[in-house]
Amino acid sequence: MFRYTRYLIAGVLISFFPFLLNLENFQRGEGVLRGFLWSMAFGLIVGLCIWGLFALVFAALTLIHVRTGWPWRVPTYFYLPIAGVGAAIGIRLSLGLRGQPVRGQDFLGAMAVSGIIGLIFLLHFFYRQAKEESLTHRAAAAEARYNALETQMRPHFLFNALNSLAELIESKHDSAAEMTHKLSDLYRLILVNSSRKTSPLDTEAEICRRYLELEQLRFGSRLRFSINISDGANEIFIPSLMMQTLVENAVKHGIAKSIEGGEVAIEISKTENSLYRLIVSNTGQPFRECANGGTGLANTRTRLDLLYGERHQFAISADSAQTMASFYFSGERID
Amino acid sequence: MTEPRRILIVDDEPLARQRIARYLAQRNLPFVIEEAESGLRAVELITEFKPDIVFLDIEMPGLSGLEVLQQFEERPFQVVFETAYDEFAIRAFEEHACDYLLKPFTAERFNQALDRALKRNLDESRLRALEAKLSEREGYLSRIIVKQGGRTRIVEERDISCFVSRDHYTCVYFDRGREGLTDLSISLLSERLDPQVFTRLHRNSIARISAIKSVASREGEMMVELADGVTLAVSRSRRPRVRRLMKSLHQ
Repeated sequence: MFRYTRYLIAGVLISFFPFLLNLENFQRGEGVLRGFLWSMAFGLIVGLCIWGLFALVFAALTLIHVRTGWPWRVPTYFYLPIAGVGAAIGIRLSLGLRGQPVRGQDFLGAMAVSGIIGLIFLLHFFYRQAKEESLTHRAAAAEARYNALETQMRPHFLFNALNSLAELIESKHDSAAEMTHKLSDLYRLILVNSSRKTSPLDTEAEICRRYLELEQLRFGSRLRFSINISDGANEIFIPSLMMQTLVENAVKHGIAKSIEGGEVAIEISKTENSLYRLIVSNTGQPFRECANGGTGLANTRTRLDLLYGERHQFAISADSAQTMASFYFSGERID
Repeated sequence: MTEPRRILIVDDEPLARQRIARYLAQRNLPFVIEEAESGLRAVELITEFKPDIVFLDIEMPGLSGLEVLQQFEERPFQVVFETAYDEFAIRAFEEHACDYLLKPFTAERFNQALDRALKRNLDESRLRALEAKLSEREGYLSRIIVKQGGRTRIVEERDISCFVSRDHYTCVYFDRGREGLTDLSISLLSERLDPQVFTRLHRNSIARISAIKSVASREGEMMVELADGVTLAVSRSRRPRVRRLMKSLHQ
């Protein structure tokens, strides 16, 4: 609401300037107060009429924009210089209609000055809006970074793993040492790869292997896994930690949600049309579209679009037997 | 000689259960211990084993810790919650003075929680307040444990057409024609189910609104027929609401 009041007040102020410039005309004629009211009324009415026309055109253009996607969007604050010019025309009319003499240069001057003042207002609003936008933009970026960090830390996984580790230290020393090494390897690899856009496939596969081995300690026989990389695919690059995210989702939603557990299978192979194919499948609880729209999945999709543009394909499918994420990509290195 | 305390450990991770069992054994107190590796098993064991104290992990397959608690009308046992990382739940535990363990926990912290649970008097109102707080996030009751013959199973809320009370049990009609029993009473169910989805028809019945096929009057009684063929009477005071619902359904 404040937004529009702001424009209205600015509009009234602007229509005041042509009146000041024509003050002389009024002083010669019917008195300043009456003149002021007349010019204000005409200024507003003519200004609003022009604005209304403008709004109609604007609405039509928006409609075209919605239908066709052409960038016809025109910001509302263009109203301001128009209101200024409208007010000047209004005063000219108000004086002219009542048979008052008006000098041509007064009218042109009024139009020019009010137009310029309107322009100043416009620039001011434009600047403020740009500032607001950059603030929200920065907040969104910061939030995205925070979420990425939190996911990278994998707190739920970490604390559960530490709990298992605490138990092993007291009951089974040798496995405890082994688990500590796996945990530190995993976090080191994640830290290295998370700073890159794409990472070598073998390091990414190693992260998944370590991760799955640790989860096996937690879930016991409920979790089984296999990693299969076909010969021609060893040298390629893959979006950093994407495979791990898919594997983690398979464990979190497929295995952890199922009482009997299941098998997570990772498969990377070369396809005929010189693309590579990654498949992460699990035989646990079947995938169901989450209530919150699946932000994690949406993030993955956005990220892949940014990285590869059209040169990739990512899909998730599920039947009663298994859930499968498939990803076709070029395997190139992107920094 | 006091009677041994009965303790149930509920966690889907074997090492996490082992840890609690080992800490309990170190106390040299007379305990009888049972372990459940899933929410479903926990519900069965709470009914059969009748524990005094339940160590309850929140994140589990099938039924979560909270959903386990929601399956019972009365909860004559102390609950010690466990979580690895769940700030929302931890705030709720603190707020309602519920015992909880943050994984990984030390023997000292475990013993504190255990001692408190051993001494503490049962307080159903505290659990109810906690439940209300946690269901802000978890939403309404979405899975219900149903007994069918000798078997218990998890039934999703969306597969249920109605609940009808019979003596001490509540009959659940689900999967278009199946029937089972739950311990939850009609009045508790009407509190825990989403009122946008289910409506009370009578003192002894609740029906899924979208399952109502037709409404008919017979000898001054208003009867509702559901899609799976079950017919239920509507009490006098609830007739206006049912009529309104039917109107909005057919628009």
